[in-house]
Amino acid sequence: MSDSTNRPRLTLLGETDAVACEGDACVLPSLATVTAAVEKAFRSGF
Amino acid sequence: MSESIKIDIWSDIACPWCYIGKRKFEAGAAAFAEKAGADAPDVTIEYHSFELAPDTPVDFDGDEIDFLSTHKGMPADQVKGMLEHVTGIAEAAGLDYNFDVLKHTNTIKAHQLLHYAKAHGKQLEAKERLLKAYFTEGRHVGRIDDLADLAAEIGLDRDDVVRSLTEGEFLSDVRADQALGREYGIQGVPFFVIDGKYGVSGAQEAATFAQVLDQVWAQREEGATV
Repeated sequence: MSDSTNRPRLTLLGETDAVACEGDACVLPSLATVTAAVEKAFRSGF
Repeated sequence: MSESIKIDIWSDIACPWCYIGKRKFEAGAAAFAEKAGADAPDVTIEYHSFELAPDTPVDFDGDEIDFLSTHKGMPADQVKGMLEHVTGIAEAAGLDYNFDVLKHTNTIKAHQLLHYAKAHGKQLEAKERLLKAYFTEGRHVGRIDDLADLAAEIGLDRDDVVRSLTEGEFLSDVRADQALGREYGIQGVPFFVIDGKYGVSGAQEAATFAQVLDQVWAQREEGATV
């Protein structure tokens, strides 16, 4: 069992729009998610 | 040499962005190490369990398009188009996704195998083997015998893996990971926890991972000199 009493809150770093999976939506990413990822990939030149 | 940077990664096997994120993180870590040169700290990685769809059956008779269109009620053509997009992004990251042969399954046993592998010093090999087996090779990663075959391929004792998975030896470790993930507030994967203090969500670009590692290292060095 972990001890959460002393666990610090995480400081979030990195981009806020990176693609992640939540629930079983991960298996089938939403069209908006996929579209955004594709557009971002193109912008970054893969 | 500085103390190593600890990266705890929450992810699932049946998670296309987790494999893509893994590759991008590896590229970012390599870029960070190259930039830091001889002074670069080691980066220690540990994977933690996250089940995206724990109600998924172990066996499903059909391909990924069948599964998704059946369970999500979406037109097969639309599902196919989405998977093609994901496949393209994976390819750009150097991964060969084959949704045509992918065997959709429950990943709870695969997570237990990852913990078994960790206990035997082979977690990183096991993680890579399971992801490749699932997304590239169309191997089944939900059944004990299939998982044991994969474990044997990376040098683990097949019979002992069968015993462990049958007994659920590491199920409590999987549950502990999930509980810890909830404590951190992790809702999606991949999710990277750095030194237990910083969180990075999603399949970030390699350059972003490199920048984050550089930032964490710089802050640590500043703290050491204060």
